[in-house]
Amino acid sequence: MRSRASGRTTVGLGLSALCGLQVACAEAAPIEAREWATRALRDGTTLAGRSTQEQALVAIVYDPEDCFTCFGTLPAWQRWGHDHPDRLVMAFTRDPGPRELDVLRRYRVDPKNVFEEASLPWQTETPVEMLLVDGSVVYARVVPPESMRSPLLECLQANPTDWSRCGAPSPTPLEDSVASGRDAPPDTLWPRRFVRCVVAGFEPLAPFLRDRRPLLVVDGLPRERWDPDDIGDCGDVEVDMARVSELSYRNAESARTLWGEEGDQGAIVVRLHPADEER
Amino acid sequence: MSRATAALLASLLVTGCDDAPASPAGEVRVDSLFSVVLSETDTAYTGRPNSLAVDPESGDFLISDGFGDRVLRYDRTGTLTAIYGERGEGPGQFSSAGRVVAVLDGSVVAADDGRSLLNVYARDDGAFVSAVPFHGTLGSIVADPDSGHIAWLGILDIVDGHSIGRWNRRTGHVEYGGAVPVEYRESNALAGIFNRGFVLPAGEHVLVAFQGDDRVYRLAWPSGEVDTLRVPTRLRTAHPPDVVEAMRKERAFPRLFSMIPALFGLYPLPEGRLLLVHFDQEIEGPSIEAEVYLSVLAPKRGTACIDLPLPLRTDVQPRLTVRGDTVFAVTQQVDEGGATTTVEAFLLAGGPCTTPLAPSQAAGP
Repeated sequence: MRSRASGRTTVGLGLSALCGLQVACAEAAPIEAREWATRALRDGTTLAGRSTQEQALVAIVYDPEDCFTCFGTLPAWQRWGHDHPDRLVMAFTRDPGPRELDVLRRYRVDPKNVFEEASLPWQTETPVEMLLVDGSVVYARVVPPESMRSPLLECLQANPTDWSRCGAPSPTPLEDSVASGRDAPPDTLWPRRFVRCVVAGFEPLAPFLRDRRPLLVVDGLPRERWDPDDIGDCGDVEVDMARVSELSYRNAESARTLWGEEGDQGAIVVRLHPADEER
Repeated sequence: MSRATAALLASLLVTGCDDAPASPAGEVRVDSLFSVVLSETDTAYTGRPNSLAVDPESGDFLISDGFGDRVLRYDRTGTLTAIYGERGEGPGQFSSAGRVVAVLDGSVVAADDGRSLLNVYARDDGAFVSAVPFHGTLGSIVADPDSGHIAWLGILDIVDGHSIGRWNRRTGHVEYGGAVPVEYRESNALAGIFNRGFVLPAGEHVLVAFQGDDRVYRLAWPSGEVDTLRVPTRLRTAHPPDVVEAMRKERAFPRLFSMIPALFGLYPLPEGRLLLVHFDQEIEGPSIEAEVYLSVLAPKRGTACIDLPLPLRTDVQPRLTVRGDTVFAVTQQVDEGGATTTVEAFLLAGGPCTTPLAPSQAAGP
């Protein structure tokens, strides 16, 4: 994405118009949210190791594309981080690609904290928001990129002098105190099967899962892994435009969010190609 | 826009064209006027410009930011002077700061596309005034030249088949009218990707255009006989003869996206001329590359300057607005040092756009 002096310009889309549905292809289970705390960063530190008893730390783990497919709570975290410069770390699961880097620069995000392991499972659920105290994770949760709200941020803002309210302090077993991962979706396509395809590009495409859930999942594939020409080749999509248009949905500027209410099921039907179903 | 101007615009569309000959280099020139680099900080910046407006009184720039979900106001030196709204789902907040921002009679109006709301703020102190729901997807807001309390909304409402909203700002009520081209009903891809509508009052009529359509329609409010003008192509991509069939055959989103140019604006120019802004777009990884073209339709019957390239230097999709004969664009450049947001201004000079267009066709959406 480079500047040009001609009439040709480059558009940082935020992939917003690329609304599609991820539905196909990896078998690996996603890494647990709290595991990021102990994974090594490039500089040899860990997120857990950066926190102390006196100085709790908020860490947010992003995949670089999280920051341009949807913007979620990133701006709010940036503002919070501005007021708490030593208490917020943004870490990335991988190095951003050149175009991703341009987008991150536009959003004033410095991807200096990157996890060391080159063999991280590519199927990860991010962003992950964590609160760490003295090397322990006291709160960890996947917050979908399209989410409008961050419970952790809201808690920190509501309790500026008592962050202990925002997570059970150690030594409470992590399993009891950590809310890890998304709520289990009732849908059969995602994310139960980690099969990813970008089914189609236009905005009102999503299986309606249930009331007030973020429904539309945009191409989550790492950029290197898909050929744009393959988009649309993994399934047929039927959209009842009349029904979809009745909904309050976010437009192509915020591709991942399409909100449905009870009874909306069936407005959009995704049929995988047989080859995908066999995977 | 005066009634005379509106009448000229209206008369223009009586003689639209189909299959017009390619225009030679436009007689209108695009001259660079100035550029203003916006002062930005770590917490007050435009992450993703979604729309641009110029305050008709002060000349200030208003930019809706799709990243921070708010509207930022800059004076003509590029200094941030106000912020309207914030991200959220409460009164005066934006779940998705959208494609439209405008200054109407002392108010800043900005679309929350996420909730299909027009958020209205007091221009001077930023106080939230009201939220007005609208139908469909919104592409433009234009004040009525004759009624200070009326504003026209350019929409695409597939459900009810409307393309125009007439917003009475005294009552807060929006009436709907107009029509949607049949292609939009037949192609989900067209309706999903090119989903904006644009409107311009023109005397007794209203001009309507759609993002994925190469025609401009003249409608009698709320719905009446229609004249259409097909805007020919010189440099930008031409529409396929049967766009519905072409989109039906194409399954790859990037190719759907690039198949036709996208209309990004319909503006009045002085002396009854009409300006259309088209983007030729192409997906490149997580980004889109776009070429921006301006087409000026002359007030005389059936002449135009078609597809004048707008020389922008930007790493993001620019957003444009027009005041008088000046085109303003907000752009961003990104390098290792970070991002710089700039408002550039271009003067549409010269004329008179004498390339003849073919006779009109009388068919509507």
